[in-house]
Amino acid sequence: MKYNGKIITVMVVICAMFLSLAVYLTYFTLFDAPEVVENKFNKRIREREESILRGAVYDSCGEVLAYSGMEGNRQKRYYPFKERYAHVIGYNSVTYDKSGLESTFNDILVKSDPLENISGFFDMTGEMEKGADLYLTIDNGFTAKAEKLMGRRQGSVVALKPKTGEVVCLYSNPSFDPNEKALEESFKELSQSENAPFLGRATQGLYPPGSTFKIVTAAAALEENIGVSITDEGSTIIDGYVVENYNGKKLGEIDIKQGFAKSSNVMFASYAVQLGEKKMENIIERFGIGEKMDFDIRTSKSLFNYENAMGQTDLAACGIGQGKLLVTPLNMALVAAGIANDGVIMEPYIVEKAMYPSGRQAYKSKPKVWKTAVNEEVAGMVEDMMIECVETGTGTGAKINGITVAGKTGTAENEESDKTHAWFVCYAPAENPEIAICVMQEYAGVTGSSCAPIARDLINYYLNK
Amino acid sequence: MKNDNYIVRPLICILLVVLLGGVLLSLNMGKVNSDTALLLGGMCLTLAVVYALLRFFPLGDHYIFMITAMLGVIGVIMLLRLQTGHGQKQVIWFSVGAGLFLITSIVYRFGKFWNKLNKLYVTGGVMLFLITALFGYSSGGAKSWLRLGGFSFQPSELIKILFILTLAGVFTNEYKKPKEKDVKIKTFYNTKLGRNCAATVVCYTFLLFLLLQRDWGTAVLFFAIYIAYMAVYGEDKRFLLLNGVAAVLVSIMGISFMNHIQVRIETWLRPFQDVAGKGYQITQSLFAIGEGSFTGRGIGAGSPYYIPEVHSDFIFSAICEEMGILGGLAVLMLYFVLVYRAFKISLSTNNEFNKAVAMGIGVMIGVQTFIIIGGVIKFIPLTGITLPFISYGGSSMVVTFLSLGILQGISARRREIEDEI
Repeated sequence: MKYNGKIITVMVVICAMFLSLAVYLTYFTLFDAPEVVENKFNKRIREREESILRGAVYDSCGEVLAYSGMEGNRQKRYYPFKERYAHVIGYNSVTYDKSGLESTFNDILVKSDPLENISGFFDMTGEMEKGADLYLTIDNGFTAKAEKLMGRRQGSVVALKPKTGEVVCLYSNPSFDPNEKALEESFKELSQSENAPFLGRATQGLYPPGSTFKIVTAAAALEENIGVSITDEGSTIIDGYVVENYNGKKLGEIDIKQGFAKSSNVMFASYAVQLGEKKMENIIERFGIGEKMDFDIRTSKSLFNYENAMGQTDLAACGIGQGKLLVTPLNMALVAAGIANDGVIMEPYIVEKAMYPSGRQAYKSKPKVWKTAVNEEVAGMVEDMMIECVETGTGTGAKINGITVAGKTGTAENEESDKTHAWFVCYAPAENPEIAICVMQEYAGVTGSSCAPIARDLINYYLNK
Repeated sequence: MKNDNYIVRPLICILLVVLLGGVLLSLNMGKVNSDTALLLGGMCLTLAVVYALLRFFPLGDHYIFMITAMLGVIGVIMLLRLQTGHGQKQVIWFSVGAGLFLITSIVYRFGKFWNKLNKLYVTGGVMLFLITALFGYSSGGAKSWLRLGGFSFQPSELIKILFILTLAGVFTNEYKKPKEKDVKIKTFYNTKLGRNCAATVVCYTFLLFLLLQRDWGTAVLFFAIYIAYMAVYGEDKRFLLLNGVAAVLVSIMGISFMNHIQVRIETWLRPFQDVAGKGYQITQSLFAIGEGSFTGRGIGAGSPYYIPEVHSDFIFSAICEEMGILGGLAVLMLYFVLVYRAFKISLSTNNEFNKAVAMGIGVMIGVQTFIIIGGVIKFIPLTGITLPFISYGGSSMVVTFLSLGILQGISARRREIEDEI
């Protein structure tokens, strides 16, 4: 009997162990579990989704861009336009998870109407519930046109309405077929391909903006009243760094408007140096470059990568869109849209609304101001320069009879010296901007001039629809 | 009349669980065919018979078997749900175990020599370890399985009982006056220090074998049992301290040099860092428990098959997914009551040897439950060990029943003594 006391102690210890298990299990269920079950490796999420027919995706004209159907007792996702929307809508695969809108709007696509659920509880017909459908701002006809015009050339076309931020076109090439079978067959090959077809160039590609960036530099120069005339000798040396015009062309005595239209590197490099780091950084920020964007699909943040103080050569390179400045085509389209919308950049969006099958609205987006880049006066002056560029300057390829187009070309040097990236950003009609477009072609070399005609055809298509 | 209710009520509870489980299984999965129904019926009959025998020929404690039966039934239903074949075999194992339980309790009760077989226990344990080391094969990372005829079993399960009997003997045996010849040895052996040393030697020998088998869960269990005995009977703080130091040293060595221990600690601390790889098991278990929430998704309505080893080590996660943590806590409670009964029997028996044995069995079931449930809910690092009576597996079931048979025998003997008084 003399050991009973100690045996009781051992029993108390074991009691404490059991109690700790019970407490921890309850704690886990109350506080950790809600988060844990949302982990994307939890296969039950997919299982739950399978029990609701995934919502379809429509373009702005009501055309079906993606839909789900049953194949046996399994759901299958169909993308009738294959490559065209692989970076916007993305894919929904059992093996490779989800991308694009399929990923960001997953919750809405697989959510059935909560009101329907109440009545559905008594419904014994066993009909499958449906998730909400997405209605996009994307215009399928426009995108088809862009796809055709780009042909085999790598790059992207971004088009949006400057007044609201509705994205009309977000096309990237090369692309891939997001349909399950095609994806499964070629996923490995695609992910290893040098052309990086999984990279949605329009929103995630990062490129030096080249001369299109002069829109930003010009805006800053006009704000600061330093946009004076200069004599352009074709090249200039800033702190030992040679800034040269395209092909070393001498432009002679020019004012800012001519310098912009003819894309004088000499002029804008010197403006940037005069503006200094603070003011350049400030204008770049106001145009949303390097800023986080709350977009409907994943975007890369444009980079303004100067860790140390910028030297004069850095400033000069930055002023003409070279150096460590990297932007996405979407970002450049927004720069044009900002000028078009009197200096105010609207937040871009792709999803207009989501509707339950019953017709009840599940989601609705509203136009929102994203950034105020410059004031109306400066925006107006930049607009004049952009019109001049299309009328008489480097952007004549985009000239349209009867429509005033405002635009800016760009040729960006990159790691491959002989193959520059080609850019063209524009909007039209200048008096009452309906659409802002950014056409970008990778490693286009001297054929860069093809960007402006693509934009021209797209404007024609859009305004004459 | 009141007394009759008292007898029948637990049986009705168990029958209800079987019925409910069976109905849910057939509704949700269409799984219960006539074979399974027959097996479940047979299981109910077996446990009713065993229970009746225990009642009407007073064979001791009435609770132990009822608790065990409830656990067994929950296990069988869960296994039927996971894999019909496993569930059916488990019914057979359960019946075999129940029979063995009855026999053991009677044999143990009437044998008066259990405390005199110390040498046999130790030799038996070492022999079993040696045989495993020579002829055993690996499964689930531990080379701890023996194949005999068509059956596979883990000798370490049986050694658990031998270990408890040995330690109980070492600490409680009174020796008669030693013969002249080896007076010194016997005297030393009879002192506290001598006993402590003997227990330590036995324990560390066994631990060495277990570590060679890489059966860490069982090793921890053995160590816990040993520590419990030392705490109660050792009466020497220095030994506890030394063991503490040894445990810390071994842990540090393990963490710094053994890769698979590092992995276990890592997946315990940060399971979601490598969900697809190292953390797969534990995260699947946590997903299941998390999805089950409080009330569970319903038997047959969850997806426990995503969890690896769900029928053995991880069965508790499956229970939590489908019956909720309320079901899980109920299971925990059943184990707790079982452990409590073991301690209660230990406290109320007069025979010192039996007292020690009963305590050992209580500690064994308690700690084993803690190690595996704590492991699958990520409370402690995961070590593979079975959940007694619920996990699929013959040797675990049979041996745990064996130990409870001993407990039952002790409880019956206690009654006799009480009657005599």
